[in-house]
Amino acid sequence: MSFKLLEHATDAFIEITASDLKEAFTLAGNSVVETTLDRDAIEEKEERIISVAGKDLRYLLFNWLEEVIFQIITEGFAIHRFKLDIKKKLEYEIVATAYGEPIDLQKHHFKVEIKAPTFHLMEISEGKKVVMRFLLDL
Amino acid sequence: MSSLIPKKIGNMTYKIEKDEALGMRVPVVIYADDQLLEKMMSDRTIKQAVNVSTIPGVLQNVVVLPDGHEGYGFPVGGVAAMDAEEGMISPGGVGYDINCGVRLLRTNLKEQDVRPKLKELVNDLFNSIPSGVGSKGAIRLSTSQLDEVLVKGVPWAIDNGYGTKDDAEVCEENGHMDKADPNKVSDRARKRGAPQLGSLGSGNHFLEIQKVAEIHDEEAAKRMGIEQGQVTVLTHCGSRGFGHQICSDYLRISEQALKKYNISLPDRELACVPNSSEEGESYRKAMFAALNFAWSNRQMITHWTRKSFERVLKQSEADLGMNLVYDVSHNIAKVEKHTIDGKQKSVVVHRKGATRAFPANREEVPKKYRDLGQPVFIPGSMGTGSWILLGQPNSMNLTFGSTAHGAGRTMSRTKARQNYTESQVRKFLSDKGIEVKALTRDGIVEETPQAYKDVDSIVNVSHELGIATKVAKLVPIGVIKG
Repeated sequence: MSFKLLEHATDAFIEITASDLKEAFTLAGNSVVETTLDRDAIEEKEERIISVAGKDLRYLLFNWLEEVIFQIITEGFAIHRFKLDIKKKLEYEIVATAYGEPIDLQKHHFKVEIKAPTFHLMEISEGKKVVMRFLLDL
Repeated sequence: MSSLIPKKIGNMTYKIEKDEALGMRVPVVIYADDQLLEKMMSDRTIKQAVNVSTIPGVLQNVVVLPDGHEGYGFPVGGVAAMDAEEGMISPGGVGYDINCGVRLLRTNLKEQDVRPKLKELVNDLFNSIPSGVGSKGAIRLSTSQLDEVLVKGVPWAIDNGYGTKDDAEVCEENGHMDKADPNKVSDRARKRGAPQLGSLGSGNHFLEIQKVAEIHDEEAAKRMGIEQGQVTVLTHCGSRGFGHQICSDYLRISEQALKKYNISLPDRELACVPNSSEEGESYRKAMFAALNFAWSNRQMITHWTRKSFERVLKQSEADLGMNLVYDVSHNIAKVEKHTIDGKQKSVVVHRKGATRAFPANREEVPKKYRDLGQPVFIPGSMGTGSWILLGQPNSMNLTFGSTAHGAGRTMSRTKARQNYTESQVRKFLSDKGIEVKALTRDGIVEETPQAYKDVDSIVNVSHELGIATKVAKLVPIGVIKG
């Protein structure tokens, strides 16, 4: 796994260390996929464009995590890989291409349905490395 | 912070006095035994309860119930009553899974009637209840049909053949919350909800076939149609992605409105708005839609459960006697009348991981139980047991008419996966005669009984303090996990 799962009694508490924001948000997307499915079992048969915005980085992260959950659980799209770009205009924006295939609970070894991202314990720090911590309600 | 150390003030009762330096407006009172308190002290439960005590309009004291543990903003197992006129309503005080709750079905069956066909029954139930992931919904709802569910709740399910009038009569609020407004619900919540009506969901949600192992209150058990050795079915689930999205939507709206209402909070997950504000009214109407969704969700699962029993046991629904005992929510906020400082007052009671436990003679208790008290269900972990309790007068004196909602995790999912394997957990369950069927391998391991607190000790606190008292203990014989 390319992110770290921190100890938490009830939910998925995730820490990401990345060289820049783009990599950090890519890993954050991967962490949602890997919490829900076995990412290695997903083939890249289709691609979809996903875009989200947020007034600051915390909102951007919350909205991005929510969008990935929506794509997997509601749209039934199992995502193997994200290619994304982050822009800052009036607010932050992510435009991403997601590569994957229709969800198959057996093939993709469905693990758990994430209820929602949360702001609880959310941290984003930008220094030499970008470090993000966030908690997914299971 | 020494002021965060609770002081024992009575039997199983601890208090943190109001400390204005921390912004506390009221004290925090904790109901727990020594071990349960120790567990709460090991995470942020107490700190979060103290944070809740800083919310404008919070009255009397914040309550932490014996199953209290760290949540987001509010602790899980927490109750807070806000002044309905001058206080707040908080999406975080209800939680992401709005109207997550429990319902219990009785049957005319004994264990020996079910045991020979248990595996078949568990498989049939598992196949009858959809996962709600992707397009795997059980029914297809148009926008207007979904609106009907959101407005009507369980009566919609009954009108559409998913139950009988008797079912609605023994649901909290008769399974229908008035003034729900689909117009206050986002398109995204609708999209997430439409394919998930009638699905269990994963995590700690389950459907359990049980037997009545112990009777502690003969009269109350008899009134609920419960007897020793009988088979019961307990369902634990909520409003699925529909409620999760409403919580997220209104958390954002509330947080953005904090400045407008000049509210300052120690934790952004506590985001709240005045109960009587436009945003407060909108959240309430959307949250009520999620209450109706969740009650309908459990009602549909009940219908499929009955059909499954009919099919496998080759008996009619009437012969099986699969009546609903009660359905109760444990993530909810409602305006109720409570006595505060000797006066009757309308308050917004937030129950986050807390079950209403009203005593006899409250008008909210269904007619069938009004002279008895409200049935309460506290599910344990999948290998141990669950309890039927009865709401008692002390709940009104101590906990705003509430008691605990479950065992509560004590071991992380990661640790559970590190410490146990699927085959170990399956063997542990099969040694106890429990048949289990789960959608996910991890679901079984993560829900291993050892990952949960002892539900009996939680129930003992409620019983000893006369909040809600023991009626019967149920132990599982079959478990279905989403």
